[in-house]
Amino acid sequence: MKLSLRIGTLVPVLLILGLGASVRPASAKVDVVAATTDLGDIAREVGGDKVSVVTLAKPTENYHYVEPRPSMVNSLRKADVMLRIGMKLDLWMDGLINAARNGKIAPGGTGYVDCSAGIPKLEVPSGSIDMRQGDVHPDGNPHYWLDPLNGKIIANGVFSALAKASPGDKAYFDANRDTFNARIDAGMARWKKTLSDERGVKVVTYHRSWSYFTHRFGLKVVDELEPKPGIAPSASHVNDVINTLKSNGAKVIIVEPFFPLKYPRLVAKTTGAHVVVVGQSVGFVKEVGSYIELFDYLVAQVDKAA
Amino acid sequence: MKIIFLLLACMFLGLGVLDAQESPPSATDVAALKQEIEKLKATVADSQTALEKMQKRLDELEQKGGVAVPAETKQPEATPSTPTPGGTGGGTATLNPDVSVIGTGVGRFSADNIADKNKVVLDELELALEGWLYPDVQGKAFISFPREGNGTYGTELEEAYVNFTNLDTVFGVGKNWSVKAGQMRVPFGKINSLHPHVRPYIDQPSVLTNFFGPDGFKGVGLNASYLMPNTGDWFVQTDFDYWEPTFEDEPGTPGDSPVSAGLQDKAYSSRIWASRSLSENSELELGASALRGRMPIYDSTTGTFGDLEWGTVLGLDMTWKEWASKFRRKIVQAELMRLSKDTTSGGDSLYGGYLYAGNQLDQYNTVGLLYDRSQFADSGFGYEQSLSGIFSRQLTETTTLRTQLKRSFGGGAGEDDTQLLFQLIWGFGPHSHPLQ
Repeated sequence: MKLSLRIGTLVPVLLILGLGASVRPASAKVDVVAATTDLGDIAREVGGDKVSVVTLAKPTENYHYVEPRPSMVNSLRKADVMLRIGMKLDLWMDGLINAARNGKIAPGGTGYVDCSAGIPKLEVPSGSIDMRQGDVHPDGNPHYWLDPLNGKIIANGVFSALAKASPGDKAYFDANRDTFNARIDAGMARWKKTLSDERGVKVVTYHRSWSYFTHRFGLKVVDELEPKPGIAPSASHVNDVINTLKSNGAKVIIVEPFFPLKYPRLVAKTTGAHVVVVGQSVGFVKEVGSYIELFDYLVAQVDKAA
Repeated sequence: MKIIFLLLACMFLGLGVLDAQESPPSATDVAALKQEIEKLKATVADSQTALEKMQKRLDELEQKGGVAVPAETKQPEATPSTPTPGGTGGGTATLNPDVSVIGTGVGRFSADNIADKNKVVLDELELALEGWLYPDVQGKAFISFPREGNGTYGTELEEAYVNFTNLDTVFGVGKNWSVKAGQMRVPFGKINSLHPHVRPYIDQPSVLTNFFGPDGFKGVGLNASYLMPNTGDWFVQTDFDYWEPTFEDEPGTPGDSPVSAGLQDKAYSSRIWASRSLSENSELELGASALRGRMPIYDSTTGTFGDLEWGTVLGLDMTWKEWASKFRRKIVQAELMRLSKDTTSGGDSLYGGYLYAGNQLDQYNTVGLLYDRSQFADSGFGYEQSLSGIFSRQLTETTTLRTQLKRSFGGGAGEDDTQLLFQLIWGFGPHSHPLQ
């Protein structure tokens, strides 16, 4: 009788403890690890004070070439939700996900979020795809976060994952997502107004990473300093770009800070164009503290240079 | 009578149906159909005219500086696509593995007496096949075609293993454990497990060649890896392994060519790997490795290798990395190993190691310096050491051109020599590497 009483008491206690071990305490924040600061900021917008966010790549890094570090595994191993860019831009995440041994954030896990899901993709190559096209992305241009309307789609994916991780806060996340979307819409109105005179303005970019931004705001990319994506500029191609700029009347050269500025400056000096050195992500300069501020900054810089 | 009547009725009915099917259309029906066709043609013509007008207007607007959509812009898909999970290791829609090919060409130029001098050769071709077998279970196979000493090409199974990346999700037990089983480059020390084309310099560190053989330490066995919990800001991983080494070395002539100690029969190894961020831009990794295996004991009297005896290899490694802004990265990496053999005449310890410093100048260019020193299989052979300056140029994501000026000096390996080496690493396919 006593033994059965002990077992009878022990079993439910063990069950409760076991359940407790697998269920996050209601008061605990959802641990989110984001590949980039943009995804991280959108996670903060949707998650509010119910999430704790860590970002892996720095905003000044080229996301094609982020070097995974063992210390990044520490964040991933306890993450409830993991946000990645996808579209094979962040392949460096795969080794980290494997090393973290966290089933929640492995592909197919409840917390695995490929933020490119649902994005209307630009420049999806058709026909034969091989390296003759340069470092081509078979799934399309992966720099999709540079269209603010795609930010809303990213927010949807983040919302779904957070709602699964913390079902009790679903309404809170939903309200935050609506607020974020409204701020994007308000931002779009003022950005379009700022750039209304710049619609059709011709620009040159260093890498083919600004397609979503130029598409959204009506800028026209007439050439790129890389002859093909990922291929360093050659002297003859730079000469071609100069001629293109002169014949098209392009005024703006957009280049990220991690690319060599030698060629953009040479082209600008020869043609009178303005070099706009801007990063693609939240935090690349102090003034850009959020996803919306990123577009405030980018739009202002292009407007000033055009 | 009734039956006859029924039969006749069926006949008349059938004939009536046939009659209806075969009777020619009336003039009214034909006229009506023709009229419908004419109406439809007119509608199509109107639509065509409207389309031409709109296109003309768009062209006018574009010329005046209106909205311009890039020529290569794809219209947004009506149905958002579902991304394939993960990156490499089987992300194709057809369930085929990821296939990649990596080739390494090497040229060595020297006025001194070195092997393979003044030649450019295809040093190795590697075919990699990677795929997911099951959630959290990967399969990998690497087949290499190395250049042999006589100039022909052999075929080797470089690695072929199954990787249970997370035992807990696969079997329900073994939280924080992963297991690899098969043939692989052993995770002993920092560099041994790297494929040659991943190293930032051309030749394998001499300590690996002298202690384990020209291909380093490879074997068939089991690697169990544990990610230690509750380590604060430290990443700490421990590995426990059992191997049956696949390297077999032929004893050479003492004094003429250094002979590797090699490992034969069986070996047990373990490694602890710890890493911590020192700042937002820098990280320090420390590692310690231990190996116990049976290796042939060299008899300096007869100049031959005798029976297998147990020996121990201990290793320490350190890697410091700093990432400045943009593409710049500095690295300092060092490794030291000690080989002790339980010879009948008493212990015999050999030492070897390397020190590498690299500086990535920008997206495309990296410079490095490498000091490499190791004793030979038996301390009677002395040691070899070299100092190299290295320059690497990343031509594309998968193609690297490397130049290395290597000066070998001192020791018992014969004369000093200077070599100018070139290496071209090229590849296609989504080849990936685990976290290293």
